[in-house]
Amino acid sequence: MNRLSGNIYSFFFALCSLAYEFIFIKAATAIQGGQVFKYNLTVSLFTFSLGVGSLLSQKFINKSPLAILFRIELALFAAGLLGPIFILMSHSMILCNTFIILVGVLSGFELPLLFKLNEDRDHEVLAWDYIGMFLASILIPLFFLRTIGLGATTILISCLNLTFALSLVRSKKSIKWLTPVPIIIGVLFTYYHLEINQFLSDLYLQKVL
Amino acid sequence: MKNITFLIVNISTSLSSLYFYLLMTKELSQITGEETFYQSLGLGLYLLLMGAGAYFIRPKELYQDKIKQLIKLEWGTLFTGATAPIMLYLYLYIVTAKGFYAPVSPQDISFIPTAIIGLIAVSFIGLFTGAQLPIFLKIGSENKNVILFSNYFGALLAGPILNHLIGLQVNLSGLIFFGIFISLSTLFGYLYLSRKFSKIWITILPIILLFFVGNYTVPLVKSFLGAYYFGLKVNHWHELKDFNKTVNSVGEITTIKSPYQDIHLVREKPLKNSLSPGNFTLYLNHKPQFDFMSSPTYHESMLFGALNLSQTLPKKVLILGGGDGILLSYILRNFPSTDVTLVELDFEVLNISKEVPALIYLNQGILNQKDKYNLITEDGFNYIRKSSAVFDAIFIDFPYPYSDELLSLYSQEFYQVVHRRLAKDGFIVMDFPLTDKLQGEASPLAHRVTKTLHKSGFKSLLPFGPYSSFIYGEVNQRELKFHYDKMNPNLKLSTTLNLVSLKHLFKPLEKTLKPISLFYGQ
Repeated sequence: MNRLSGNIYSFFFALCSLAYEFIFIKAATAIQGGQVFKYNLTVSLFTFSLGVGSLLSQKFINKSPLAILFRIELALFAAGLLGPIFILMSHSMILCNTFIILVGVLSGFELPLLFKLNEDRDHEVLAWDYIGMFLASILIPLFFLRTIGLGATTILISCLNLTFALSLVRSKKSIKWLTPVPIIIGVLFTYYHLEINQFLSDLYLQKVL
Repeated sequence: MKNITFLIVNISTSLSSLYFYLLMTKELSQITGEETFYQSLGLGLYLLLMGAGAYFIRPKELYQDKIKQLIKLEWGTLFTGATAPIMLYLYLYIVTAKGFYAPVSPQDISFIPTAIIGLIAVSFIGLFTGAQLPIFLKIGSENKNVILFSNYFGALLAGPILNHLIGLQVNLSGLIFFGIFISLSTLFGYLYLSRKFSKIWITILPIILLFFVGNYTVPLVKSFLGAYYFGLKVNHWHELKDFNKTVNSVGEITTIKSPYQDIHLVREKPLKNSLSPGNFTLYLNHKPQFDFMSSPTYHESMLFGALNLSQTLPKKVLILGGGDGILLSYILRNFPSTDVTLVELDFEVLNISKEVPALIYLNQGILNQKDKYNLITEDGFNYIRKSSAVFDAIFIDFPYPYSDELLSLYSQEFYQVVHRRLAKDGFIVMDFPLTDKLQGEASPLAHRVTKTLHKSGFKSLLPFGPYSSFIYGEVNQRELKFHYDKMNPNLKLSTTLNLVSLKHLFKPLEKTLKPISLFYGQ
């Protein structure tokens, strides 16, 4: 992995991971209120799970890090996309915390794998990881969740995640042309954000009413 | 042993850093009421500067030099984290007491300078912390994963510890003390790792800070609150020194920290040789809720205004919010056979309403008569979501939606659940500042709230109350109007004057106006 790619992947993967957590905070607040507590709990659970993930990654780090990173990102895409739907359908905080931990553990694999793929540039990879998280923490709660709402933000971020996951294996011909497709779909979906959010609202109320 | 100490020091480094960061954002959120803004921007800047710290740091070659670097960075975190809350209150105190803000009290706290002070501090804490991790990774290059894990583990501890200390009613100086204690322990850890105990002087900084925090934090916060709530001003800088004496001569401020908010009870003493009888006001996160003077008009308007519009006598009533017990006392005093359920989230609000004499005077000690009503200590939204009970009337007495979280209590999802818990001929009444008093027309948020109520199935709505404003709603379609001929003759004149429709201030609902939702953008 060259220097630029390493930094870009570090930036976008961190952005998507923290974005998922903000999405889960929003979903958790919807089902149980208490934003400040949910925020503290989520940040704590997330950071702890990152630690667990980085510890677990030790076992896999020497076995084709690129392939493992690709699988991790696919799993993150699925968890990030489906998490809010399952949480709102079930109204379960246990499920919500499970998704928070799952995304945290999976994200915890990212840095050690990226360190491995970018030998001797730890500090650079770490820096872009933090910058990605910085942008997520500004853009998601203060812009995306306020303008296009929970549903469209979830689709947009998970599609962005999928695009970068596919680009990890873009050397395969069958995948190369697929790489930009998810993000195009994600952007198109934002146009229908009111309808998507109304769908989530109905889903949420189904259980309550 | 050295390895274990190394990991413990790594844990305490990230613990102290995230602890100071969370403490600062908590203070900023509570002072300004902008939770989402400070949580998001604070975390963002913290992470960004962590990135910058990680990017620019160049760990030294020798082990001892690396430890020296770590000590300097920990000093930076400690100095910034411990002094920033004090600097914030010093700034707020000076600008409030010198009258740089509007001359009325309590005035809104100017957002931008407060944000700048707080966020600069958070950024520096992030910078120092970010620079520490690559040094730790370099020292323990064989076990990078374990170092990352222990670093993240320290961060995990910060949130629960801070929440626990707040729950124990620890004041600001106590909270800073704890942060200094963690940093001091970290510095001792570095001394142990470097085996250079002769450098004990590195602990002088935290000890000086302990003295500084212990002496100045509490008086400073008290002075700021005095200037903020009583509107006290000084003409000359030297008067700032004796400001606390002036505050004590004017009144008394009691602070109660609950897990949800800062509660301030502000008693203004009667002024000698004047007609001022004094006052008592309850503030939540620096926002006024009610006072001695306006409480009767507010609560009478809410109860008797709604009953006059409804022309029914509800048998089963739900009060959401209203943990002060005043509305409850009005209902039970006038209609003793009513089955009332009171749902209040904050147990500290309930506790002070049962114990503080001024509040007992206002609620007639009703909260202590447990057999007369049902008390649920829970989030109002959660309660109605889980409950299957149906009520003839629902009184909604929530704080004004200053934050995103409070706005969720005005969402279509909330009102749809309320609708389900309401009897067929029932009604809801909720307090809400309807008008922009300077413009003399309904505020944009008031328009959105009425649109949200309408979309949630409340076909008949009547906004009323030019002084204390409310929205009354019913599910059935009918013309709503006050029946002045049937008005309770015992109401205060100020209440009767408040029972006036404000429907004329609302334009027809715009189609493009978005209702408030948990899921739409706000």
